[in-house]
Amino acid sequence: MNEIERKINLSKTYKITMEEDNYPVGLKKIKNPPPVLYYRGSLPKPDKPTVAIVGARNASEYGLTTGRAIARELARQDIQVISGLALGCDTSAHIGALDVSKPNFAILGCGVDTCYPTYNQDIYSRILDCGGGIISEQPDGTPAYASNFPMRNRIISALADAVIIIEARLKSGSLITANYAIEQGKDVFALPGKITDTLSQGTNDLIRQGAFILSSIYDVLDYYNVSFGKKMEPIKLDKEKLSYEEKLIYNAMEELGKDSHHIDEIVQKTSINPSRCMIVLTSLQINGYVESNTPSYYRIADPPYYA
Amino acid sequence: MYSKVNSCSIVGMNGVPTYVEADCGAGIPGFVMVGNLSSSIKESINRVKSAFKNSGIELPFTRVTINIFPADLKKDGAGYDLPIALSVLKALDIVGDEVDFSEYGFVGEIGLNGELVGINGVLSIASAFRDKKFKGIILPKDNEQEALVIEGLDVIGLSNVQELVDLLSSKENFDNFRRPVRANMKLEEEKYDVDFSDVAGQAFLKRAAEVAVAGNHNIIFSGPAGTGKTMIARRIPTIMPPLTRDENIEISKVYSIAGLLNKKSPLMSRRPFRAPHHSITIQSLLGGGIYPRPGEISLASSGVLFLDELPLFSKAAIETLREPLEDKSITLTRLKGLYEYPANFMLVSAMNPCPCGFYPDRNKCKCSPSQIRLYQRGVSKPILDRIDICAESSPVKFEEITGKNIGEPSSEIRKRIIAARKIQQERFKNCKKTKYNSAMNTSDIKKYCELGPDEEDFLKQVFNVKKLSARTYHKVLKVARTIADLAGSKNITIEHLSEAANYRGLEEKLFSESIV
Repeated sequence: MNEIERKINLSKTYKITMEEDNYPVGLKKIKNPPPVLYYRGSLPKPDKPTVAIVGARNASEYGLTTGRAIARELARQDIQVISGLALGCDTSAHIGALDVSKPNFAILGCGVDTCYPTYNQDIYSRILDCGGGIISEQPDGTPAYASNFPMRNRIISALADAVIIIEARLKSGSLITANYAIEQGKDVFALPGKITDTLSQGTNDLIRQGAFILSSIYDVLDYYNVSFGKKMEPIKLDKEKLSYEEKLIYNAMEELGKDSHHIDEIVQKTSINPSRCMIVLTSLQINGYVESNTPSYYRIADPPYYA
Repeated sequence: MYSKVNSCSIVGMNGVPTYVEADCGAGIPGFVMVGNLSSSIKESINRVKSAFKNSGIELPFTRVTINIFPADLKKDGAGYDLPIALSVLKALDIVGDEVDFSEYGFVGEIGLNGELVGINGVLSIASAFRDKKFKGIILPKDNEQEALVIEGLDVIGLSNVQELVDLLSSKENFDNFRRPVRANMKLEEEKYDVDFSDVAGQAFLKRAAEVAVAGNHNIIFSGPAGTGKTMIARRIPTIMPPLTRDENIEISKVYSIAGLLNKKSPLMSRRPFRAPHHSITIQSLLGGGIYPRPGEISLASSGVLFLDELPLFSKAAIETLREPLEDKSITLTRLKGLYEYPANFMLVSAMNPCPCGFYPDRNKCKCSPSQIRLYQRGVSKPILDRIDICAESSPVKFEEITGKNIGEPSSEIRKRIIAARKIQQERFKNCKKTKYNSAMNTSDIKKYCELGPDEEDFLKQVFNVKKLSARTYHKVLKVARTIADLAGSKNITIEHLSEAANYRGLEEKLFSESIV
């Protein structure tokens, strides 16, 4: 019975006006707060830190994997992640928080009864399931008008204590969010990228203007002064345990850099035949030294953190 | 006078013996043709009449009735000119009883000038005559090499109608007529104009192709444009084992019926490689028409059917490949009957990662996530289910193209593949249907892909870290079996499983819930 009740409650749209007590404080402070807020699930808890993670829809692998990892590590520390449910970086932020089943929040430009983009239906329901919420200033039934989306960005930044921009081209929706954040006096973190990558031009530009550089997740955690009980340390992977071939391939991958590399690149670097390479890489992957997001591509794995 | 001449029709892949009768008698002079004939045969009599006139044969004014039986079979094609001409000549007593040709079959087209013109499908016709225990076949000279392939037939090639009359004018003429010599049969040697040594780099793709051919697994290459996917696909026939004679006759029959056989050589000199354009229709893929002709899948039989840009093919056309991929043949049902063609091809396909072809390089690719998804979802899932090996190509580096190190030649790779195929032959010698690892069903897999407890455990871990879906389990086992065969190993070890798992993941990527 409880389960059914819970499901029913999750599919109810709640309405909260500015006059009510639990109307988010962050929103009250801005210039043009939405008079009414609609939501499903719950609203972000005011006593917990909140971070917005946004970025381009046409994100690169770098943006997608980094966004996901940052969201995951922040959520693990009980920081609430909010984003816009859009494809690309936004989706990766939601998935990162969902990886560790922590509450995260999606701010929509349409009514909360509409999942836009429909492709993220699965994420939409998983957000509700893990205690997060779907929030919008539009009443139920409002379709996804493009003109509503810049406006919802002000809610994203207002609800957050800090905004992280993962990837953005110059002139993009993510920079609108960043501008709102600056206007509202929020701190902006930008993920630096290569100066030649068009997707990092927006974020690099933000850094030039004075945004914080996000060089590791500690930058945000330190900022919040979150106490961990004991300091978090990445586990040191013991390279001595590796076999000769494994070491050869692991070292070659370190030399190639942290991006994903096709098996062919590793074959060329080490002159080990492709069949053997696949065997060794699979064993490295099973033991957590490398990971693979795309078939035939491998990258050095981020070591897991221990609190 | 009454006469009867043996001939043949083609239904599907096979020749069906037919008989042309002619009878002349009183009535208004002219020709009547009966016997469930297509218009090309009904027109035949006009060609024959002109041919007679131009060969100096004068026809008396009588009424000639021509019948082709069995009447329930719809007859089609141009091969009936010669038997009709002969039956008329015999009925009018222009050809006498000197030579008994009741055990010879006749096919061929005749031009208005009396010259005999080659026809399609002679291989099938000749083997039908042989099966019927006929002594020989008489046909246009153009086709005599092709008919020679079928052993045990007396092959006589004629150039024109006059030669036909001369041939049958006396026993002596018939016995002394020049016949082609089987020993001089002009078989072209197997030769490909491409070789694997042309491919610089792409070591992974090449290895994947080798494994695929060894176990006759279907394969899909995915990866950015211009990285050599098509180049490697074109070279796959060069590493397949040479055609056996039976295979060659089978595939040559298809090409003969389709009229695609090289006139210089009566048999195929190499394995077929068919790369239809992605605008292809169902009919041209499977075979079609009122009287069906073999489609691309049959023309690719014993060779490679290459579908470049798989997501762009019409879904309806691609979905029709499901049954042929399982049955290795295609049966077309038409009003006039059932037509069966072989479809024992290896499916090789290629796809770009996105409409522009550069994803995931976001500096070049400006496709939106939904465009990419739409494009990738263009791949039919049921077809992907029948593809055992997925290989992602690597973006080619400049050094790789210009690199001096030449790849391994096809002949070397082929040696390993022949060895692996031999092991499979031995393994499946008592199976009727299964010939290769790729064709193993669930019970075969249980029998031949047994894993030890360690291997079992390892495979579980691999599936876990690689996030492979359970439905790919059997494919990994089949491919691992092939890799073990290539290595000459009796048991499947952890190493074979490791490599096999690397050929999976595309399905999960294309149909996963999100792009991240």
